[in-house]
Amino acid sequence: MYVIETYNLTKEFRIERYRKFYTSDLSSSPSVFFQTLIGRLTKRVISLTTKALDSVNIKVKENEVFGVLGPNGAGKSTLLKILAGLTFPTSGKVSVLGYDVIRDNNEVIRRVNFVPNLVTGGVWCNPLLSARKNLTIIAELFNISKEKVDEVLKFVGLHEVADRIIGTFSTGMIARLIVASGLLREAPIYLMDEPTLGLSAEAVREFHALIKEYIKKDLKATIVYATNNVLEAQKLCDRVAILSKGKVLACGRPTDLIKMLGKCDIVEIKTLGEVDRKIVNEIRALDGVINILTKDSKSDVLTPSKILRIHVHEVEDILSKIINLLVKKHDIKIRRIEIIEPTLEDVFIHLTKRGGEKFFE
Amino acid sequence: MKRNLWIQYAFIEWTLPFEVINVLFGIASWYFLLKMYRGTPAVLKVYGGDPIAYVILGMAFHRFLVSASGVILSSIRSLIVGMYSSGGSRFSMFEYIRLARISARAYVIANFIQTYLQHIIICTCYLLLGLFVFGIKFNPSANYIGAVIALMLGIMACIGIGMISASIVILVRIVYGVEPISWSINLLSSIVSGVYFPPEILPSWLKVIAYYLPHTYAMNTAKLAILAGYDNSQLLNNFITLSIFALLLLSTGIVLAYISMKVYIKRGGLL
Repeated sequence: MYVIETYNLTKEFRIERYRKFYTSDLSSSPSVFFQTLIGRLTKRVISLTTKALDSVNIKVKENEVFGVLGPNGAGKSTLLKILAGLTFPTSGKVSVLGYDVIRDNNEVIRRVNFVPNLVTGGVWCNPLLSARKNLTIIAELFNISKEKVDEVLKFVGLHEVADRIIGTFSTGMIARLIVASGLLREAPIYLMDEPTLGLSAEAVREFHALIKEYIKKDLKATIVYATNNVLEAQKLCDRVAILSKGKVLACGRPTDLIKMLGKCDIVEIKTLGEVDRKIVNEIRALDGVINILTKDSKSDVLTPSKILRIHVHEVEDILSKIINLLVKKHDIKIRRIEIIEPTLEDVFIHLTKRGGEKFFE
Repeated sequence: MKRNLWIQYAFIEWTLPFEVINVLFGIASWYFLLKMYRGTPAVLKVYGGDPIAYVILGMAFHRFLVSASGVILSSIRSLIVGMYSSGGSRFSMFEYIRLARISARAYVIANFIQTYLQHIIICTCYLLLGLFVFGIKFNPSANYIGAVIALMLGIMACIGIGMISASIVILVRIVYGVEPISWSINLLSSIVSGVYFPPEILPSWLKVIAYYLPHTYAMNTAKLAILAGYDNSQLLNNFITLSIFALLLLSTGIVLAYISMKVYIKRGGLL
């Protein structure tokens, strides 16, 4: 059974730019109002439309962790805001638990629980109040008992510092408090917008365990999890939709998506010495190379090197050409060559056919 | 709620003393100006004959009325323009309060009450300073209930104007700068509605404008009730006119605000 379904979901945003002139607001007169109005009529104000989401079709099953994976600006937050009933689509249909997000908006808002990330979550909490007081305020808003506040504080491991002002909390403790604010209200659907952004590896591990063991297993809830971290999506999510520039490029189980790569081998070459962009482009131009991405090696400070991750059709055919190009033509020493298993990250690179350096974490 | 009361307390502790100074000096300049031209103008006889009392009440009541439209406009504006931004994520105030399951109506009403309360306190300062510092006297048979009814009806009409202005802001999609409807009404009302002088002395073309503004009726009715001691039966015609203004403007404002918020939600943003 699908608890969330979207059909051709499209969301457009409009912005206005002044082509030639713009005077600052004179505060006590309506100059800006008339300036903008006349500017629109005389085409001095240009209106630009951007598509944040473009014909998105996804179906989320009950009690699954559904990942929305994409880089910054892909439309993840907009998608989650629409699913939460906070903003409406420009066109298309969205159904959450059988409710239409536009027609039955209040029902949707009541049934989903939006868990903010650490950096956004700051606006939900007052640093001058204690953890307990912050949660009590949220509990009062949602008519939740004070016992539930204590229960959640204990669950996230903040019960011993519950009466301390949160301004004195560490990042990990604040993260747990923000998660607690999301857990206060139990709901059949949890929408999580990059909830682990800014968390330590340990806190991330704890949070993932919380999702799997408590929200999914005990509460039997469905989780839509937006992230730009490929490894996180691969580890945590039952199914993943890869989103780029507002479009869903692929959707399925991480293992199925990796299989989708089909006849694609990945060669990872570690070099001594720098490999500049010109050489990378030469490799990319070789027949049989699908894509390539580079990464600085941070593990080896004494011998600066580069890692080249190359997607190829047939490794046997192309490997000698790549080695020749690097060693003979450009005199670059190779430290290690490895044929590696493709990951979800490779799927993303393959689908978007781009360098993907920003994605390589 | 408790936190908002603390904000009110901070207003009383820090803002009010300076506001009192502003009010004091504002009244003082008029006081000395009017003292220079001693005597009772014939046109003010119907209002009890004291020009200083007429001006002080005019300044207090005018602020009382125009701040009603201004505060409702800024409350709705803050709902659609206000932004919570942290890290890479942004929430409009509208999205933010919806997440907390607070209705837009509740937010606007709460914001209005909190801010308008501060304006009421300042308006009261005008009256208190007038009575105890500048020695104005109300009519011994002053009809305070009549004045309150007139002002309440005037406030309702002004809230309607504020809601119409806010709806124009949303529908025309220009949120920055000053909104022209409230701006022009506030500007005109300060001249033609009987703040400093009765509208009777105005040229006929300005008088026409005066009688199309609810401020004129609200202020003159309240002044007649307090300074001339008119009873409610004598003020009945003014009450009826003010009720029509309140009904028309408030209902138009509510309908327009409802439509504009629907449009705003559909757009998913101001533009």
